[in-house]
Amino acid sequence: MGKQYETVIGLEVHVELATKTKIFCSCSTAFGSAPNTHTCPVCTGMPGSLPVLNRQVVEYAMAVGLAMNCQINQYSKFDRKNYFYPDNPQNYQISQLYLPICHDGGIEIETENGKKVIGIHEIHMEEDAGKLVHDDWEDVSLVDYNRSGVPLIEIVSEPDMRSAEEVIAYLDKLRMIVQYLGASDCKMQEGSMRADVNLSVREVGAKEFGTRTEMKNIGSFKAIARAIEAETARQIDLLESGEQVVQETRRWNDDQGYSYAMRSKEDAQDYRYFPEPDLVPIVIEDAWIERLRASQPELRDAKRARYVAEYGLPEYDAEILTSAKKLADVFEETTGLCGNPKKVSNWLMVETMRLLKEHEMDPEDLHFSPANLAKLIRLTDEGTINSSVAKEVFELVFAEDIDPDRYVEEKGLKSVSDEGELRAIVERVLADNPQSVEDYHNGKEKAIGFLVGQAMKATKGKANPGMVNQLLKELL
Amino acid sequence: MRIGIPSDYLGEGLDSEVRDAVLAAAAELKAQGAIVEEFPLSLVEYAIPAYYVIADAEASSNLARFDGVKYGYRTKDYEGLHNMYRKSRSEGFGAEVKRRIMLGSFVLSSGYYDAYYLKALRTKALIKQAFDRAFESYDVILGPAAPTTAPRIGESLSNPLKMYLGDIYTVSVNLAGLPAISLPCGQDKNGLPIGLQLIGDCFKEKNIIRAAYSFEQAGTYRHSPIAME
Repeated sequence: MGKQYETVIGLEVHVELATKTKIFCSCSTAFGSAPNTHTCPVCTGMPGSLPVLNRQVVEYAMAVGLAMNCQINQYSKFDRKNYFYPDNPQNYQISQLYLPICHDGGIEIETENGKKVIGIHEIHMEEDAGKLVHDDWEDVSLVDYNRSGVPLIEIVSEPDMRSAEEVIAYLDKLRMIVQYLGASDCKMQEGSMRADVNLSVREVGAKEFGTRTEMKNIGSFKAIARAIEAETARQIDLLESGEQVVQETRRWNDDQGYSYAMRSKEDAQDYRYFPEPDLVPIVIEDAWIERLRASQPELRDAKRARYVAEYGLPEYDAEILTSAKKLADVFEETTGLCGNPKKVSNWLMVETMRLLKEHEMDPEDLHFSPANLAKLIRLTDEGTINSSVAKEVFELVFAEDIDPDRYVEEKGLKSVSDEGELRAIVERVLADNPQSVEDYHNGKEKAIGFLVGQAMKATKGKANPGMVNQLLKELL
Repeated sequence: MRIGIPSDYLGEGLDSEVRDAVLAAAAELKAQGAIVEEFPLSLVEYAIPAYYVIADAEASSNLARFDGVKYGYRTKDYEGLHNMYRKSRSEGFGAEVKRRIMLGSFVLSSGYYDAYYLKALRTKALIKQAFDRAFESYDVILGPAAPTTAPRIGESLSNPLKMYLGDIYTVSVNLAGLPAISLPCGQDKNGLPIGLQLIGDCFKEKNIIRAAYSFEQAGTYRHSPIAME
């Protein structure tokens, strides 16, 4: 009989904070600028430069900690982690080891197996490194320090997760909390959220943890799930064949579907951590914590419940609309303007989601104004445009944030609802298509669809389809 | 003004000419109305070891940025990143800097951190407490700036331990985070200047500047670099 194993997983999640400036200098944190344009003596490690802590970093870190039910260390310190690498201009990283800003919290996740609390061991603040660009053609490596000094928080969980499903639920919950707080956009593809997975297996019922491996910087939720499945299988295979799991850092190659060892514990670097002598300790007064607690925004669970209670939306709609802060924001603003929550929800859930997928965009990338969506909804409510025209107009709202009122006016897209005009068109369509008329009278109900289509074509899609249907039935 | 002279600062290792000049300065301040007395500061013998553990630890990390990547010296020929780091730093740094980087890296390394670096940090906290107690009784602490007058150029590098011990009166100030001022108060038989050090409590720079100014105005010693040949 085969042994039963369970997987034990803890995560270290790095999140880049949405501050305007870096953690220890006043350089911009903007992503995607030309290399080394957001740099200064501090974030390029020039001799004699000294760090000054960005207050907003502490505020975001505490807000995340409070939302994750953590204790706040009211006396917190930075420490230096020493290691040589060219993306790290000082050759040390300013981080927190001994007294991190937040500790001992937990967040509740929900999977098919029910609800469960995942413990948060600590949250600490640190600076990001620059980016190396390897040019194999010229055989050189170039370094871009724009990211050097961008503030990060590292959220370290307890080893409380037992499956890829729980890990994904945890990451999703974590991302929602951080996004809702406005502390980060959490875009994995831009690297503003990165996860390291610590994983071990043990026999079910065992008290001790097995030897763990760490997989660093996996690029997406799906890749994390695949990496967990593969690493679990690899470790069980090792144990089943009487071998040992080696404590090591592994790199997951998602294209190939396997991981390989980067470095073992024996080659682990000694980071020679010590308290950062260039920064004073951070002393947090009760009043600061209380102010933050009082100003915490509505988080996802509360918002979802409110959408059902206040707007009468189905649970399903509330779930989708709150799945990204940006989507929820657009929903609330648009609803506020046009007062029709279910219609707004439909536009966001169907057309918006379709276009996002088509353009491979995230909800955070939405840039149309709620006012224009509200105008579009009013145009359809009033019957000024029909639904197929509305979809075309929406594509332009989505892409270019056009003003639907003006566009419909300029392009003459108002639906033809004048009965006299439509009656004349329908009569002509009937006269031009005697075969279809005959088919209809012979019981082919489908023929009417063709006739509607002809009438729409004759009006370049602008006919009010309800009226066309009505007239056809009347005249046939 | 109450001035305290740590008796620990006047013991073994202090050059007698320096001692005489410093005590003469104290006598002058007393003559101007200050209350001057000796007191035991304690822990003075731990200042040097604590300071050099902490300073070297910081130096080993602060100097890591001189790696040949961004600025400064880079070795001519190298094979790959690590070889470039090693050669640039081996060739670019002098003996004393290398000694401090090695000592500093050692005291921070895992397994030695608690025994050296952490112990030094605790010693530093105790030294600060000793000064806090002293400032309950005195406005200014007076003593020599260094146990001897200046060594010849290059002489001290051959005996680093002796060189470090020459910092005994000044490093406590760095450890405790206190303001201090040093000013000339005499010359030895070779015409080299002798330094007087006045230490104040945190944010009490005014006291040490007042005492220094009073001594200078008394005119018992005028320092003239030009007169020294």
